[in-house]
Amino acid sequence: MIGGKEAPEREGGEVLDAPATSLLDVRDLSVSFATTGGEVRAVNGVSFALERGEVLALVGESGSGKSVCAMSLMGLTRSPNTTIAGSAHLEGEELICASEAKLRRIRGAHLAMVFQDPQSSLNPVHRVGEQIAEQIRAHEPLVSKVAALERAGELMERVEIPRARERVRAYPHELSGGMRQRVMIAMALSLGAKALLADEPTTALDVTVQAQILSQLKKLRDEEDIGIVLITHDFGVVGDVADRVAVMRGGKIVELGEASEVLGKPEHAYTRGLLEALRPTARRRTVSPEAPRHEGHPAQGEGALLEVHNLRVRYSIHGRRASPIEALGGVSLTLSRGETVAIVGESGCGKTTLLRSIAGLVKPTGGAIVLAGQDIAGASRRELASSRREIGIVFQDSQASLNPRRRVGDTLARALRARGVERARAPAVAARMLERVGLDAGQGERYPHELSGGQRQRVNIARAIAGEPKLVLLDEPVSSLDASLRRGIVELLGELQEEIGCGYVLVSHDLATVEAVADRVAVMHAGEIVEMGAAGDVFERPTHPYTRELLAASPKLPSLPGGVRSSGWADTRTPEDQPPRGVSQAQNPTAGESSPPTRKSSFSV
Amino acid sequence: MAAFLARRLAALVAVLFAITVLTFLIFQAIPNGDPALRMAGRLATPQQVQDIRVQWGFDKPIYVQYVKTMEKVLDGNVISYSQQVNVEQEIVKDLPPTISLAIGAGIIWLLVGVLFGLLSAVHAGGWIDRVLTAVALTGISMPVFFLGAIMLYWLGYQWHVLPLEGYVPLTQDPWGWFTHMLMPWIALSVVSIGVYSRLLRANLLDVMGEDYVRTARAKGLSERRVLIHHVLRNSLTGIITLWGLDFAWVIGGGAILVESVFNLGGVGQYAAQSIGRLDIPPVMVVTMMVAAAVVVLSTVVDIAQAALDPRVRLS
Repeated sequence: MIGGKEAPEREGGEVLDAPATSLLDVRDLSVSFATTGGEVRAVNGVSFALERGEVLALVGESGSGKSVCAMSLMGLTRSPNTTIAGSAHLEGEELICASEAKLRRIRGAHLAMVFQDPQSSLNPVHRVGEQIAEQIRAHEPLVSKVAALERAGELMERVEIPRARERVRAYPHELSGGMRQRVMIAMALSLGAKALLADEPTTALDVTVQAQILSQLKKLRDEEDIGIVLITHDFGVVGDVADRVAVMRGGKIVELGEASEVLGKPEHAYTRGLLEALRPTARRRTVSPEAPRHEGHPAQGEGALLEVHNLRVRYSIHGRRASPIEALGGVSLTLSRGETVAIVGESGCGKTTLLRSIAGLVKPTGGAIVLAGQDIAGASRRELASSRREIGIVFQDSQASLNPRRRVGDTLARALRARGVERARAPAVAARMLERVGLDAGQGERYPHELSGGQRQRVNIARAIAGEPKLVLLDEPVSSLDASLRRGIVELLGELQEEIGCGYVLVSHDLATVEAVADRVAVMHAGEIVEMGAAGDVFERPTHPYTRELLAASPKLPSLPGGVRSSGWADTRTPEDQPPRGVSQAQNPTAGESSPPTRKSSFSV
Repeated sequence: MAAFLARRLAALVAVLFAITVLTFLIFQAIPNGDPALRMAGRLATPQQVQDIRVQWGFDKPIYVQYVKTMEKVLDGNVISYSQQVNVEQEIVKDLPPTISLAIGAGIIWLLVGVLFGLLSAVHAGGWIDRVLTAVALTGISMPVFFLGAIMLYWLGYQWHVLPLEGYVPLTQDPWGWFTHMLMPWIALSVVSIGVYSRLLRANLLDVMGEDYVRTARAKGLSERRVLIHHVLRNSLTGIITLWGLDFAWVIGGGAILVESVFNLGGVGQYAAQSIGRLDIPPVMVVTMMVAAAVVVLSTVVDIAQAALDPRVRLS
């Protein structure tokens, strides 16, 4: 193995000697953006080869340059401010220097791309069949519109969209997330492209849907001999589908090799760190500080901090006679002081509605929510206001949940005042709280965009625990953060809980986080809790079929050999919460990549 | 669709009722607004004034006056206080210039606004964008009476390129109609062109950053198709809403300044004169026209929105 900086060429010189045999041969690709803060080099000398019928995973954290790499191959990063160097040959055709007209013939026809969010990647005002047909006709102008639509229907059948022929006429919003992503794949296949760039194709999807899309990709690889570059941050996905893996960091490939080898015996310290970070330190305690707990049957009555009884929420759809949607169909839940209950489940299962009802943001149609002896569900506005002081909330998107025009210290001070701290004392308390969550008191002077994602989430946590509420609601608190930052946040949450003794209700897709944090787990499906019990029991001995399905759908990572666990994580990890230097995030052209997806669903256990 | 239209019709009735009541009340509150005094003339005796009051029903309680006036309005035989002619016949006479003005100017400002917006957005940051931005801001800040006067002086009075003022019916002399309308059209469009091109530019730049535009490029579509089919199509909704309301405003006689500057004799000019004479019946009728036009056009706009964007539901 060659040292840390250069990409270790595990497969030897063979591929480099015979580029003509590769489907896609990328050599020394560099991409840099000119910004007002100077030149930013997003991709720095990346070389790899993609063969027919293989999946090559490009993995790395936000800002590692993996997306920019793919977009540059498609010519989508071309602009006067961008410098692209190096070469890329697709079936012998040069891509990097190709004229715009030539590139247009290659795009979609020979090299296709599937993007992260199928909702935003399809034009909402055109029917999906038309969007596929449009691509066919752009490359084969002699095909009639009717014939192109006919082919669109065939393609949609091929990617296994149910009732595909009817759905040719559907608009994107009429399809589910998984079907939309299948439409994107159908589009990529429409002209028989042999090379597919898939940029986080399952990140915005639920785990069970993710498993279906991944098996669709495997099918393309195995049955149609298509070569796929799969960009992902999720090692679980890598372990599931990738033949080979390239690990990217800071615009370079730091490790490249067979998937089983890279995941099983990572050579590079950074890869080891990434893999290690997926296993947050388990913090499961046997006894909660206060109320003693019986596994699966938590303390009832006086010891309970929060009791949810038979909670029902029904949404009626305005202006339509359709029957109202039952978001919660009788959910019961108990939480003791100092305890953490995690709610897991897929989108639409009602977990967010449950959280919002507890926060008093959604008016329940039935049932009771009792927080420290006070019923919130039937409370008046004024009563609700006082009980809200006992509830803190941390949201998923650390940036969107902070006012961008207010210094974070001010944000904290306001939260403190709202919870009864005197005006004069608030700034000092805010500074202390910043220090408590691991920031400098001086960082209170900064605006949210001047902090990194992890730092912002720390501010959000500080705000949530301002005034030491009894209950803190955590809505996907680490999902939008890179794996290496997650552990720090998870640890912080644990420490704060010990200190304050508050109860946590955690909603998360990420079973690794859930396992590390939760005392008990509630699995939700279609508005009901289908299984509930001690975290270890639910994960190891799931009883409900849906729980088993959920666990089975989450891509598994091959377990690391024992020695790797205590790897050189400490010296390789990027200093956590390092603020962006020199160039602010707003100007950072790779910000597009680092912007958190709406929902991540990485079950990387 | 039928339910949607029925709801809008009900809304129209409600709006007309509210706006007529308000207009009527405003005229009661205006000082020296007693129509009997005005109609009797300066040398009238108190007895004559009182006679007029009784004759026109001004002595009755205000709600009775309102109901009587509205009855006449709806029957189509309401008489103006000042000239004592049938208001609705007057307005029908004044409609052709106003409609000519609205349609012509509406087309000009929509087309030129979209063109300027598109050019600005495509060349965002370049010199074309900067020039068009300057033009747009100049247009927005140009008062109609000033621009109208300048055009009349140079194009009409000094150079004799275009006729000075007045309206020629289209049926009588199409070319004369066109030349007489050209300056009013331009004068009315200039502000809107500025506003529309700025708005569209912002919308276009937003849409250009959307993921589906990136998808469209990734499909290998030509830049032109990406621009028209994916970017422009998705940027039009805001413009169309605005256009519907602006158009309704002109149709309902809102272009008072332009009509007066060019002496078109349209509905707006009639409204302006009637307000000057504190003549309630014509003002009531014109106000109702504006309200009706706004409600009807906003309904049309909503239907157009639903056609443009399948996610929009009519409700």
